[in-house]
Amino acid sequence: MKQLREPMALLGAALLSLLVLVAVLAPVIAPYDPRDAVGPSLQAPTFAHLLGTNDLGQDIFSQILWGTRPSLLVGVGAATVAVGVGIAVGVGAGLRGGLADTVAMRVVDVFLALPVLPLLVLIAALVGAGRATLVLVIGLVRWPEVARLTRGQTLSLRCRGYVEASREFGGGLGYVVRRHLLPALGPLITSSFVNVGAIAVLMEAGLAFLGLGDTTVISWGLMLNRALLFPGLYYSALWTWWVLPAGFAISLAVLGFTFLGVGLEPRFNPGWRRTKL
Amino acid sequence: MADIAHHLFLPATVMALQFAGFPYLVMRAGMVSELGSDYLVLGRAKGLSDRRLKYRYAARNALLPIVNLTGVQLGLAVSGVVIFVETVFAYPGLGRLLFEAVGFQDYPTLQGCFLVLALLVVGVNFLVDAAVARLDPRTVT
Amino acid sequence: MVMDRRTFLTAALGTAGVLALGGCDDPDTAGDAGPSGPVGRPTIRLGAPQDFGFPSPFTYLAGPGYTRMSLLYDTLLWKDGSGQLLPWLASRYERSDDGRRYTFELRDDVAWSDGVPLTAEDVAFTFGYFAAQTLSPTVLAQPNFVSEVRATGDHTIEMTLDVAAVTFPEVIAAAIPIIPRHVWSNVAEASKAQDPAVLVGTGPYRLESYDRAQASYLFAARDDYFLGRPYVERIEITAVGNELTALLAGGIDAAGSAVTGVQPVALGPFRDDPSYGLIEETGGFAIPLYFNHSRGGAMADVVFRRACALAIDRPNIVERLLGGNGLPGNPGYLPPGHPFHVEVEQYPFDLEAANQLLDSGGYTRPGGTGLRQAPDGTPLRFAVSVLNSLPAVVELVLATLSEVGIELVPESLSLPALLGARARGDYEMTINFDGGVGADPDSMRRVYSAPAGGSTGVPGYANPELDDLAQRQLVTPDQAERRALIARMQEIVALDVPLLPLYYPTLYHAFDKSVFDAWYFTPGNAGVAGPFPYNKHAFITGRISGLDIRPVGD
Repeated sequence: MKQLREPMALLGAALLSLLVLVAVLAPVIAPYDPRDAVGPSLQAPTFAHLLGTNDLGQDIFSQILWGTRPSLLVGVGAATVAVGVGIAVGVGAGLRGGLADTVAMRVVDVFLALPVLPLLVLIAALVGAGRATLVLVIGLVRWPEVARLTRGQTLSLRCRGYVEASREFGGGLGYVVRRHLLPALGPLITSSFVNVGAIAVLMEAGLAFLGLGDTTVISWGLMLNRALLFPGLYYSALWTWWVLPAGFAISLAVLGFTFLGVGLEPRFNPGWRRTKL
Repeated sequence: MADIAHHLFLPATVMALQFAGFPYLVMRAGMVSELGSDYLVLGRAKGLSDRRLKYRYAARNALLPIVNLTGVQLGLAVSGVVIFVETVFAYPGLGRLLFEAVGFQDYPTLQGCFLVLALLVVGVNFLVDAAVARLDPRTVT
Repeated sequence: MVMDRRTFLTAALGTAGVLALGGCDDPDTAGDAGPSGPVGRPTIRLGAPQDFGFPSPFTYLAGPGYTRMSLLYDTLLWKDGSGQLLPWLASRYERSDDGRRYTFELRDDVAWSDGVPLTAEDVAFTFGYFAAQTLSPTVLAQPNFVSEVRATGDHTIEMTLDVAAVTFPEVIAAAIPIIPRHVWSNVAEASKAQDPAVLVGTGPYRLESYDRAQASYLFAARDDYFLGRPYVERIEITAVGNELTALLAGGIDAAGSAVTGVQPVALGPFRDDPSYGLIEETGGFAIPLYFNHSRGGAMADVVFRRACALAIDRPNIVERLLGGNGLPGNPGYLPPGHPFHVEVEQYPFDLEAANQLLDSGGYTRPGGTGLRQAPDGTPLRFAVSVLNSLPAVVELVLATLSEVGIELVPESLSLPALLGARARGDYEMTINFDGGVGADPDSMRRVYSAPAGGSTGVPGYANPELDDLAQRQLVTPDQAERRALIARMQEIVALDVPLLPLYYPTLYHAFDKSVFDAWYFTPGNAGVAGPFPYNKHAFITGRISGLDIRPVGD
């Protein structure tokens, strides 16, 4: 992965690794159970409670650590769904061409025109927003972009000498896709994955913030939702330890994904970075 | 009027900040590719100043994708982020109406919201297409 | 300093549409005769979290909707801040010896807002019309027990009741809005009428504008009101995310704390600053946990419900969630401090006892931990419908119940959806709202008695002894006797636990004294509005009690 030498990508990768580490180790490193009332309500940060406590006396620092899990799960899950479907449709359409291609791309157009967020709000309110639903829905509204990009790449790769040669020598469709297309699409896939991840993290937090998420799982969005429901949040110092950390955590996760995505970008578009204006 | 501006200031600023990044990247990419064009070499040969070349020639061409982008972003803005921004700022707009209609399971209002959203997006894209056609005759075939 | 904070809040929170430009409403100039102070009749700006329906007597939504509607329509009687029923549209009334016939004498100087005089025919029409309509359960004032209403003269009405309900003056005569016959006789389906033209009332205000999407209501005083021109000139209600914050930012003039309760820290600024007034009331509002008995199984099993009562730490809810601003739920329904309250079984928090009770009831716990199973093998996992802004209490209830092997899966609903689900019995369990606990104890009949079938009732619960007591207390005029009947009812519901009151939040109302200071919580509620300090009597008279109107500038 030589593009990882890109400082921005490096920073992004570092941020994400940190978050993954926190998510995995949450039960070990969190000082308290995030659901237990372990202190007095609404306590300002102390050494016992690094980020203070919320209205139920739960430790906010522990909640932030645990909140990493649903965010990353939804981000990675949705990105997997989107990239999986997107690649299948994009590569298929690009290789097949003809009617299949036309139909697939019109479907993509329809999906691209959907107002994503209102749709999500609607689905979340009607079916509920469990993590699985969220992963599926975000993945399914985000695949068209991936499909469009991979189709374009596939079309150009299809005409490359080595791909044509491989087919001439009797390489089956599956073989060509596996052996030549997917490796060549690798960077594109990585970058799409990361981009969808960023959006999914934001949407998960957003829906939880609106109170439409899964209320049984502690997440950053849910923490914000609870905090904002608290009367008197704005005219006391509460918001400094109740609102800011969760907002900061969300920003960090999204930045991690975005930095990685932007850092990986120059490979397809070298002009963006190196040319001096 | 002053009242409207007063209440609009923060929500609008937040939305603007959110959407400022992408046009920046596109404009930058556009400038980079325009700066390599032959017409600029010709212009330089004619003795035009660097400034004039950059801002009067290259920038004008690099702006074209921005017009297209405006359409896309407006679509995104009215159909997406407004829900959050209007909720946070308690701003009584379409996004909040939609969110509340969902809560009340008020389907006629929801349908209305989606219709207005669709019309807005279609309308904006139509205007953008018309503007691009005027600005860049090459796109008219 | 204060101005800085206000300006900041105004800018930072922008409760759009209601906040005036920061600095325009400096309370220090209040009382001056200058143009910036409230000269003459005040305008009161209020905030609400949401819309409460078109303010006609047939379309308003719940208690706050009733309050809005009551500004446009009057009742025969009405309560003031002393809790006494005052003659309102009726100048006097008489009760027959058997308690089944009431004769009302109407005032003869009352006109509808379109100029047509009010007559006895309108009153007779009102009761007939209400009976003929199918109304949503969120329309709270619906006449019961009234079998016949006759206009016996231009201004006299005779009402005959099915049962000699002692609560009739309070829950019917002081609650049912009188509507004009010449308007509604042309309207077939009252719940569909949304045209402002139908809002012809005798009330002190007229509706200047209503915007459902913005949840805004503007009311302006009628200068031809029969009690005199109202003291408060205008009442403006707009959507506000957080009322207390909006009050602090100067966007509104009075703010109620959320009915779910409030921590002391949120009230600090109003206690510290003498320009604000702060009033409170405890015991007017309950947050009960409903069990849907008609679903059978554990829900209909008293052992299960008692175990739930034992496993929910109600004092802890009040301590944790409200910082002590409230009372723990009483299984006997009526809150301590209610005139009819008696001590009953409390089920003090005891997980051990809850576990034993569940074991004895056949609710097995295979591994000793985890989810229990009902005798028929179904796991004790239940959906609990809750308000979308009530997550904290849910979490507390969930936590301790899970320790005894009962799992609740919360399902968030908006307020109208939640109230509708309860009225239809469309839930398994629900944490809901009850604004009737502080009113006449007949509320117990509406909640617990099967034949009452009220919208706040417990579906599927029937106890013949309780039904009998409920019916008897309704027709028992003797106070001591009625008290005994209601005491027995409380004992029964404490043993049966058809529903479990979780807590009674203290409701607070903070206000800018310089704008309006005659706020009060009406003892036993005004009409059916619930325990809120928005009694129109205060707006009309500018006083706590009595009917004479405060002089302007006083």
